[in-house]
Amino acid sequence: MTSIENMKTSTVPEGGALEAPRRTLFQENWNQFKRNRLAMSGLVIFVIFFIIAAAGLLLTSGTDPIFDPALVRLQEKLRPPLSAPNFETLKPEEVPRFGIYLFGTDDLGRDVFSRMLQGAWVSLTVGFVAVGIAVVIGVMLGGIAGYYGNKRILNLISVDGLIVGLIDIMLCFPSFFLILTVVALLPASIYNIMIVIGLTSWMGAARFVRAEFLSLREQDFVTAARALGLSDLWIIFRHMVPNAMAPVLVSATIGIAGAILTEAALSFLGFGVPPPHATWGNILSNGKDFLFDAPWLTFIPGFAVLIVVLAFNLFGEGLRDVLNPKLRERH
Amino acid sequence: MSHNLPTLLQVNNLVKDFPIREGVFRRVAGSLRAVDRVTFSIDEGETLGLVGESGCGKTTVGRAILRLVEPTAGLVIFSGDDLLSLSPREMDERRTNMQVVMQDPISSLDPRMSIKDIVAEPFVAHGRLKGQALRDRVAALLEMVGMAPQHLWRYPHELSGGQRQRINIARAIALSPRFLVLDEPTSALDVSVQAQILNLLADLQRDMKLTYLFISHDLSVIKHVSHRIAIMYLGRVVEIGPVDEVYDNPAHPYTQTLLAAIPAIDLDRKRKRFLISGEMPSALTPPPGCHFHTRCPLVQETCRRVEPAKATIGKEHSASCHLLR
Repeated sequence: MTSIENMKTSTVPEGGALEAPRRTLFQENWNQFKRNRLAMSGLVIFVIFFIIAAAGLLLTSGTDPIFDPALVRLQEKLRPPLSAPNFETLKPEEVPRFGIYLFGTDDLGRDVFSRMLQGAWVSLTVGFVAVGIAVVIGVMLGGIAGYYGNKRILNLISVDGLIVGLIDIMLCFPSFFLILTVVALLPASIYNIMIVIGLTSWMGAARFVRAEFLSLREQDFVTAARALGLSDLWIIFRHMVPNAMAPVLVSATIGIAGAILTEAALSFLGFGVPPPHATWGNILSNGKDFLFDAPWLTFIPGFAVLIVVLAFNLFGEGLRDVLNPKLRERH
Repeated sequence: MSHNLPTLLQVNNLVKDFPIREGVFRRVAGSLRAVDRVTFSIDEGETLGLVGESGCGKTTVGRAILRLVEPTAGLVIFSGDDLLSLSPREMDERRTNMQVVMQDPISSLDPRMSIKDIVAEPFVAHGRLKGQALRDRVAALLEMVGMAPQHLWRYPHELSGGQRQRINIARAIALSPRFLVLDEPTSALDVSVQAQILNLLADLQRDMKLTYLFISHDLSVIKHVSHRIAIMYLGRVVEIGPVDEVYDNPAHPYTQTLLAAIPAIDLDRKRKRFLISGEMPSALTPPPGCHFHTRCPLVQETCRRVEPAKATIGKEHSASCHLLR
């Protein structure tokens, strides 16, 4: 068959006018997103939080950190925010950076600002790693259920039935108490907490991906791809996953907020990251004993959690509005 | 026309049953026979029109030939290969020879891919072309289906229905197939665009020596494009023959009622008014004997019990009806 070769071929000039890409879908989505003020402010807060957390990791770690979150100054305990230290009783290396307790000190005289900086990185990594684990598990199980769901195991139950059953069982557990139980049995470490939160929160992503795959599998463009003799893996990763990711992305963004809250709650209850390391949850937990003497110990981490969680929720909802084709202006 | 050409596709007693699953464990509780012992052949360069009501199984026939749904039984021989005996891998190698254009032009295109990526995909996925050669071929394909090259960077939702269907055709002919299943390619388009697409398909058939299985419920379209037609009713082919012969001299009562239903302006031609009422019976519980007996105006006692055999009426023209015996 040589008819295509025989056709007059119009040569596309390399780098010519035809190569200029039009606005991509991403740019279109971005323009749409920019119009949503609440979502934009969520994104801005998220970026600021990310920078603070990354900076906090650099500034509070090492042998001689710039902001030392673990330095105890018993003579300077429960100083209110913005108060100046008593230079006469402190050694030169104990004087806080900028010569001021920006967020005050706690009951051991540790600088709350330094501790908040250190805790920001914990919140960020717990949020992202836990949700990352949840999304990977959810996409895999949901994808298998949606694409290979009709395959049957031992002619008893379909793959789909098995996975949906597993999802329903996992959803039946009150997940916070499940996490509490597991964390109580495991050695306390930040990695265990990330993994446990991830392993108990993949069900939403799995359901989204399964539902999307079930409807995508019947779409004509998937049939056309099969008619072209393309492999299952090509079809799944080039056609189905990109089309199924929008709701997963949205739920992941909101899931990060949930994971941060869960970690803070665990730390508050004393099951979180072990004590010398500061997290927003255990600063809050310590602070509750001094609620009337030193209210900043509860209000500062409380507000921080509130603002970050709110920012992620607003960002996630903005993302959902943009990615939902029914809400988009199309012709 | 193409009677001395070799047969490209031979379909014998093709059957497709869809299992009906029930209960918690989704056990097979019964089956729906969508395609019931369908037999036909298509010569090289020919167009076979497949006509029938919605739900009669004509789309399933097209997909079963390409093994997009696995047929339950039967024989499909494509240029000497017994397709149903091939492993999925061997089948994938032959898929480049046979392509499909589907009814819904928008859902046939991945909304997240640009036109360039969609048309280039067959070459990229099979590792056939890249770089400048790929760009040239994609531009040439677009030109073949009558699209300007500036559409390359557009997305499917930015095109009109007719343009989308042209892109579907461009993708289908990309790998130079010999056989196309056209599954109602024009029924989602308005009439003027339909004509353009039909002309494009006719040009491509001439230039690329394509063979078509043209599935449609639109009798005037089928008459325009087909060399031979097959009429389906409830999973079975009831009549098959050269297009003029079937239109001028329909043998099966169902064909007669179908043709009588075409709105005609020709006032001189007196056709026997032949109307049927009611719906096509459910394929879950097909009637015994002749499937059409529940609606046939000429029904007899035998029709209710015995399935009619195929009766030859003329050269290449046959129908399954007791009245023809």
